[in-house]
Amino acid sequence: MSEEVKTENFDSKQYVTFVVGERLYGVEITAVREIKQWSPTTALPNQPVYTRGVLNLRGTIVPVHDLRARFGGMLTDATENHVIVIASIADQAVGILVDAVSDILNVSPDDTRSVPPSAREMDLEAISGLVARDDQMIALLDLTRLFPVNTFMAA
Amino acid sequence: MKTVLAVDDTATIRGMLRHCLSKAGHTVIEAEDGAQALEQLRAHRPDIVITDLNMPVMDGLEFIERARQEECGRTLPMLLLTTETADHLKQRAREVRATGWMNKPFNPGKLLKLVDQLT
Amino acid sequence: MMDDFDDFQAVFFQECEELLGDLQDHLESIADGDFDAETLNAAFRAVHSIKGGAGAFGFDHLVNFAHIFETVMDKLRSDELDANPTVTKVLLRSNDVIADLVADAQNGAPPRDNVERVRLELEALINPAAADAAPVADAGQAAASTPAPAAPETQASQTAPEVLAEPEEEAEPTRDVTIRIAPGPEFIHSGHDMVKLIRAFKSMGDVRVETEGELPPLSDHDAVTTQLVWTLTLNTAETISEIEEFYDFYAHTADFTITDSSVAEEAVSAEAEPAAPVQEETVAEQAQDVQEQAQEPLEASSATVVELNVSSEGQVALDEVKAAVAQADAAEKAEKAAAPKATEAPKKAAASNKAAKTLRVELNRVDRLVNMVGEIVITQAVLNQKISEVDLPPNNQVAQAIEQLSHQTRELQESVMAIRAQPVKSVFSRMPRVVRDLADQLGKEVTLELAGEHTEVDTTVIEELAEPLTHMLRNSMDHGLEMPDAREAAGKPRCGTVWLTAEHRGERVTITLEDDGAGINRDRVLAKAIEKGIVPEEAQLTPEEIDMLIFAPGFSTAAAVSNVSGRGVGMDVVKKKVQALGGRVSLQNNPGKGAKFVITLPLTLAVLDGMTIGIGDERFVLPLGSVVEALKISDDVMETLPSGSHILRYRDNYIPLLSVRDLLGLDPALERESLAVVVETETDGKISLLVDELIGQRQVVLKSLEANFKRIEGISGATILGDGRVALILDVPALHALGTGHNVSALRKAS
Repeated sequence: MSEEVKTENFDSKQYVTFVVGERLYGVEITAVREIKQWSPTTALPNQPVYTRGVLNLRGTIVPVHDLRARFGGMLTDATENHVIVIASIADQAVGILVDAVSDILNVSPDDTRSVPPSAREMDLEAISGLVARDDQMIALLDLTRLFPVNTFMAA
Repeated sequence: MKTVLAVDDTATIRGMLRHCLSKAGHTVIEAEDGAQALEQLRAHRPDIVITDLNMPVMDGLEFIERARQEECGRTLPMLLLTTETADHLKQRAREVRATGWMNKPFNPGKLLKLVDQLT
Repeated sequence: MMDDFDDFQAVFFQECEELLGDLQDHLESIADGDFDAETLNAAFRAVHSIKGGAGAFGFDHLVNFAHIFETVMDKLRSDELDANPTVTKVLLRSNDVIADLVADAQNGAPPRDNVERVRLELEALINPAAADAAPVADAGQAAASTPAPAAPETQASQTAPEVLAEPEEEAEPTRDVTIRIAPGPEFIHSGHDMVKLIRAFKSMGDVRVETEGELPPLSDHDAVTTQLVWTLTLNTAETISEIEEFYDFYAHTADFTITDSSVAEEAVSAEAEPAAPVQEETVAEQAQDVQEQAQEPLEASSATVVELNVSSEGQVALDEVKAAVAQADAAEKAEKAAAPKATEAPKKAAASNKAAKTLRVELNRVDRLVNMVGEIVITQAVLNQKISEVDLPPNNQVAQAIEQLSHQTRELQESVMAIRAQPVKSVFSRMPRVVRDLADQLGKEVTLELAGEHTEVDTTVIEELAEPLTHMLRNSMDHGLEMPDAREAAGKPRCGTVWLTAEHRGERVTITLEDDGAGINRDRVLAKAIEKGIVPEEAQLTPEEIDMLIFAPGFSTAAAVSNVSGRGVGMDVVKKKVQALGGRVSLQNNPGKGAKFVITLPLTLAVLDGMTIGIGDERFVLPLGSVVEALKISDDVMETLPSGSHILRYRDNYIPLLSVRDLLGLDPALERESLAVVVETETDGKISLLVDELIGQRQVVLKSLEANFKRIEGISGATILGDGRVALILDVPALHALGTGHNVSALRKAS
């Protein structure tokens, strides 16, 4: 209702940011269901390298993907200090293994830059925008394209 | 407002009746056949009865006939709501002293008006 | 309001589905000659109920058809029509049409072409002599109990969709209409009330009320049977027919005449002159007073008559009215005392009705319950595990209580699952229709024999079964069964037979579809598969492998399939659908004699008795029903074939020995698995699987992986173990298939 709030939050969105290695990534807060400590997953046969397997989230079986490996890195040597961000992708819960959660940011569309067209396809298709904060670049993830539900698994 | 006993073996029709009557502020009690309706009649003493004719166990005509023998049904308005149109059935309805005859499909406006008029 | 209305429609269609199912059963019994009066009644009621509901929603086509259908059923139950084969054939067709009409009403589709044809067939049954002549009501019984064939049209005009909105009334010119009412003795005892009647007429316009007739002395007055003639002058814009419709209610209990002044003004005014007009308002109010004081409103309404004529005498008259009412009441009571047992019979009838009570519950409520019970089963497992980790003395009370809890949990779970179980009948019963339609279309003669319709399967399985089953049936009729002449030439009866059977086999249900047609033409299938590039030209296939090609994706395409089996889908879709249900399809082809398709399905998609096994750090579950035994692996029992694949010596036989680790691409073993679990594949005999350890038997709750994953070969689902970890459930036949396809490379790697 107040004037302040209106100008401050107009069109801006909140993002949960997290760290993988040196990089910062952001996911829209509305897509994040919860954040939990790493626990061992059950491996699934014939899946992409970055799929760590599945875990039990209060009775629901949720796939867990390794974000580092998704962007071509090594599989994360997961420990209790690692974190799984449980996000909703097309109404399905999906876990994303990251190193740590960093912050919650307000990002207005004016602050968002698009990925330069020269970038590699992998970046172009999975990153919806770039935001500069305190000398660091945050890559905003398009989860639907990064982990398309039901299409990334081998048949 | 009024208490209406709706008797029909078709849940849809009972639902329609309940919907249209309770929207107008009436209390609706239901029965699936004549036998149940008699029990409901004794238990709830409705202000008016709207009953189907063809029903299993006990049909609408027999129900009205029996209800008229009950103290609570003696002068109770009881309408038949049916898809039947045959004259001999209408004649039967008169003989068992049905209050009125209405053909399905029912027009909710008319039905409400009738309920108001008869109670 | 619209939402509510949609809800009713949903209820209606749900109800229709049940009614259509019942109707079909009854009609089939009738067609088989296996019926009694109640069957006919029940069939009649089913049609009648559909018509009633359809009318409420203004589904005119459905109402029209149901009406004539119902008329025929009515004739059957009143023995005016004989259930001979000609008649029953039309009835079965009508059943199909009415089912179509319901579906069309639901989808808002226009009626199909065959509706009119079948409707005419029904009409011909009602009036065989004059099927296409103008309908004339004959003088006999038939005319009384059944409307003339023209009735549907009349019905249609009545069912104009005016369901929720009252048409807006225009300010039309009014005129006086005189209504003369002479209430008969039954007036009050049919639930009527003069005051209410007058009030009701008042809703149509201004009313003036006059009375005429002699009143008996008050002491002789009978409040119930008083005869007095009322003349209402109604100033209204309503048409005569509307007024007629209105007073039709009352017409049978009182002598009604109606005169429209706009038609016969002279007559009305002349007749109305003698009596002094009284304002309706006054009558009603005064009557009300009497009613309240007399405390017996319905009786008192007749007493208004008295009050009108004696009103100048005031209170004295009222007292006398009360006395008269009391007298009437006493008479009633005496009458009633004479028949005290009148209420016994209906009670009995009600009791007999209660026996077959069912409760309709939304499926998602049941699902919530199933899920909750599933969670309890898991918690129970956790509890069991924790207890076993605590060092308790043997046979201690805690362990006993936990044991009992296990039993109870299991029973609870079974009860809950039983709620979801449904006979396959609900799917099977749709098939005769498919057969009839197709037989007509293809010009073939086919009998469908159903068996085991009462076999119960989880409702989800049932729902998903209809499509593949229909498709298989179409396939058999289109490609399997020959034309009547060809059959005759082959020494078979002209009429082909398709058998559809369901039966329980252990933890699974088997559905068999068998026909006595020509079987699968292997040469043609192979040629086609080569043409489509499904198999290479030089492929050497066993006859069985050729048969299975019909399930290959791309084998049947829209162009290659007639519009009967068609819709552009092939048997591969059937296979996929069945697999998605955790089931399998197999095929036995007997060229020239027929083909037999066997579908096996799990009874439920929710729980499974499993054997937990360990491979490395991972836990897997094998369906307990498939586990035969476990053997320690030693060089004595394991052999290697020249190709490198391993086999196990089991009893007097050699059976395949597969490494789950390799088939599923798990981390390689540090040392060779120590155990072989012998499992039954149902279709291909026994095989054995290499595992590291056997952990134990337990019931597991199936969790779908489908939501997140495409089907993973070799895995049928997942479950959550007592420690909260996820374990995958192994699909034995799929593992075997994987093994036969991959065992060379997979096992070479392992050895």
